[in-house]
Amino acid sequence: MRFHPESQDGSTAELARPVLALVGAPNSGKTTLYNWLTSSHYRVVNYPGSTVEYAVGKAAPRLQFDFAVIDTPGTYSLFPKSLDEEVTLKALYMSHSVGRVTHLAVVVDGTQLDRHLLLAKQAKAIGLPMMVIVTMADLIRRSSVKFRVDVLAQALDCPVVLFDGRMGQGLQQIAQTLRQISEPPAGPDTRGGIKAHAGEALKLQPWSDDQLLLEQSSVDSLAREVWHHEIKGLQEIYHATASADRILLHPVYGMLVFFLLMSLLFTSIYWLAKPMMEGVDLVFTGASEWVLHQQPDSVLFQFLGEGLLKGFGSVMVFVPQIFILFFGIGLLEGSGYLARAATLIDRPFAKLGLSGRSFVPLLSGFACAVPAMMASRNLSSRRDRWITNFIIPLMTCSARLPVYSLLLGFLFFNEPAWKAGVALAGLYLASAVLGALAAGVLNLLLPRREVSFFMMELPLYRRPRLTVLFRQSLHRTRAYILRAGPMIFFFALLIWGGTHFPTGAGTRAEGLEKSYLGQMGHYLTPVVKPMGVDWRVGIGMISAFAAREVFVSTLAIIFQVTGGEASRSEGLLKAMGEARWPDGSPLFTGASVMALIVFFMVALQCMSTFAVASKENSSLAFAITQLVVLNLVAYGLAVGVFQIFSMAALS
Amino acid sequence: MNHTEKKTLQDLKPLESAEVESFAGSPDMIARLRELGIRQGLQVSLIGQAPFWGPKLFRAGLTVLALRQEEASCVFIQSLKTDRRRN
Repeated sequence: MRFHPESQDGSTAELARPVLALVGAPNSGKTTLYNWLTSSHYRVVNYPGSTVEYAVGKAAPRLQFDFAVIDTPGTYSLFPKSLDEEVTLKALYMSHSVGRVTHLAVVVDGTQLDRHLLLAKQAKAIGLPMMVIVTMADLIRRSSVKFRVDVLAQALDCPVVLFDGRMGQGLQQIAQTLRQISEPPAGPDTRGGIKAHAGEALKLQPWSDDQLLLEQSSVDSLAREVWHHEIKGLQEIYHATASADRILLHPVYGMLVFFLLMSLLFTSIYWLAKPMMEGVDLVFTGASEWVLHQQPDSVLFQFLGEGLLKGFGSVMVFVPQIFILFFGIGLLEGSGYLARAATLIDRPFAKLGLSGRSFVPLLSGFACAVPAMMASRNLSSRRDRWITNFIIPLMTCSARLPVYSLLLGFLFFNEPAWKAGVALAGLYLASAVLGALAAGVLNLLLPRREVSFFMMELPLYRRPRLTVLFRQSLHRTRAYILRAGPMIFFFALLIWGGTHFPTGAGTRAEGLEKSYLGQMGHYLTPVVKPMGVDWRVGIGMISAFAAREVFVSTLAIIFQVTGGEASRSEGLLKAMGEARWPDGSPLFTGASVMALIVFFMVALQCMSTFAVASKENSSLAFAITQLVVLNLVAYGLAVGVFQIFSMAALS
Repeated sequence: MNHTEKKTLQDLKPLESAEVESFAGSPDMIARLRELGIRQGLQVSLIGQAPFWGPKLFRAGLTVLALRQEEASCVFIQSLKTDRRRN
C-alpha cells in the first residue's frame, strides 16, 4: 500500500528539518545507532495514552546535517499485534515535538537478513523516502563474509548503508544519504510526511498468509544473494556463539556462571561504589558546613546548609551505585548474555507462573521499579505482566540502598565492613526469595486464562562497546536524578521547615518536639510503636513515600537538630545511638532496626512506582491493591519481627 | 526424507534436522512463532536445551531460537533423515 499525499501546500514549513524515524526488530542494533546519531543527547518521551517510551533527539553536530531522529520500540512487524508494535506504527504517523516523520531508516542486522528484511518490505509500503541501515557491520566485514550492498539496494529500491555499532563507522554516510533522499524528487513530493493520512495510515493492510509466504521466500533468496551464497564466514561467527552457549547454557557450568555473574554485579555495586560514595558524602558535608559557616544565624543559610545540601547529599551519595547497576545490566544486555540468563531461568520461573522473560524486568527492579515496570512491556501475557509488576517493588531497588547502608551501618557499628556486606547480600537474596514467594502465591490466586509465552531469539555474542555503554548508563543515571530531584527538594523544604518552625522553644530537642512536624508525629506514635520506633522514625517512614532514600535525609534532618555532628553519616549513626525513648531506654535496638529493615524490604513507599504501576497496567485498582497489600504485609511483618526479637532479647 | 506420523519440533532429537511444515495452536501462538522467523520450509535443528528441562534451543540458519516445549509442539515438521551440515 502506498500513500500519496493529498496536499502539498502548508507542509513546507516542516520541511526545514528532516525527521528520521528508526524502525527495526528487537536486537537489531537500533538503539545503539540512535545513541551514535544523537551522541545520546536525547529526551525520552512517553507516548500519550500509554507509557511505552520512544526517544526523540537531534542529530549530533559533528554530522554537519541538521535532522531529528526518532527511535521507535523494536518490532518484528508493522502489522501490530502487541502494544510495542502498535506504538511503533503510531510513532510513525503522529506529530512529534520535532514535527512529523519525513524519512524512514529500517535497521536490519546484517547477520539476520532472512528475518529482518521482511520489516523493510513492510516499511516500503508506508511510502516515505527510506533507507536501510545494515548493522553488525563489524561482523559481516569480518573473515570471509561477502556482503553485496548493491544487490540489496537494488532489490529494495532504496539506499543501503553499512553501520558498525561498536565503532560508530557509517554515521557520516547515513547523514549524507539522508541529505540525498531529502533533495526534492522529480515525482510527487512525499516529503511533507504523511500527515494527511494519520487516520488512514493506521489501517495499513496486513499481508495475507499467502502473501507473507511469498514475501518471505523472496526475502530468503534475496538474503542468500546479498550474502553472495557465501555464508561460511557467518557460520564461523555462529559457531563461536554456539560453543560459548554449550558452556553458558550448561546445566552445571551455565548455572555456575549465572550465579557468579549476578554476585559479581551485586558485589561491585557495593564494593566498587564505596570509595565514590565516600567522596560524594565528603563534598556535600563540606559544602553544607561551609554554607552554615558563612552566616550561622541566618535562617536562609541554615536552610541551604542543613535542609537542602544535606538532603541532596544523602541522595547523591548513592548515584555511583545506580550508575554501576545500569552499567552492569547494560553490559549483560549488550553482550547478548541477558537473553541466555532469561532462558536459564525460564523453567524455575514457570513454576511461579512467570516466564524467563520476566527476568529482565525483575533484574531491572534491583535498580529502580519504574524502568523495571516499563521493561515488563515485552511480556506478551497480561497475567505474566500483572504478576511481574506486582512483585517488582519487592526487589531491592537502589533507593533502598541508602536506607539499608544506614541501618546495617547501625547494626554493624564498629565491626568489619565485610559483615555489613554479607548482610546486604543476604537482603538482596531475601528480597528475591520474597518475590518468588509472592509470585507463587499470586499464581495460585489468579485464574489462569492465557498461555504465557517464552519464545525468544538468542542473539550472537558480541563484545559490548564500553564507551557507548558508559554514556548510556550516564544518561540513565542523570534521568533518574532529574526525576527524583524535584521531589527531594520539595520534601527537604517541607521537613526542614516542619522541624524548624515555630521557633522560640528552649533547646533544639525541645524545639523539634514542639515543631509542626513534631506535633503531627505524635499522632503516629500508636501506629509505629508496635514495630519498636517512635514518632521521629514514623515521620521518616512517611516522608519515604516521596522516595525511599528520603528516609535517610529526613532522619538526618530530624536527628541533626538534636545532634549536630561533623560528618553526616557518622553523625547520624551517633545520633541514632544516642536517641532515647522518654523512659531513657535506647530507641534504636537490634530488634527495632531489624523491624525497620523488614518494613523497607516489603513496603511500597514510592510515589513514582505507584504512578507507573497504575499507568503500565492501565488500572488504578491494580496500583491501589498493590499499595495496600504490600504496605499492610510490610507493617505486619515488621511488627512481628520486632516483637519476636525483643522477646528473644529479654529471655 | 521419510514420511511417518506428524512430528513437531518437540519430537526432534539432538542434532537432527527438519523442515517446518505447518503450525498448530492458538492464532496468537502461530503469529508469534511466525514473527520469530519460523515459517514453512525453514530448516531447523535441535542444538540443546536449557537446564531443568527448560526451553529447547533450535538452530535456524544463523539464529538460535529458544522455545518452550509447549511452544515447540505447535510447529509441525518433516524430518530430514540425514544430519547434513547445510544452511
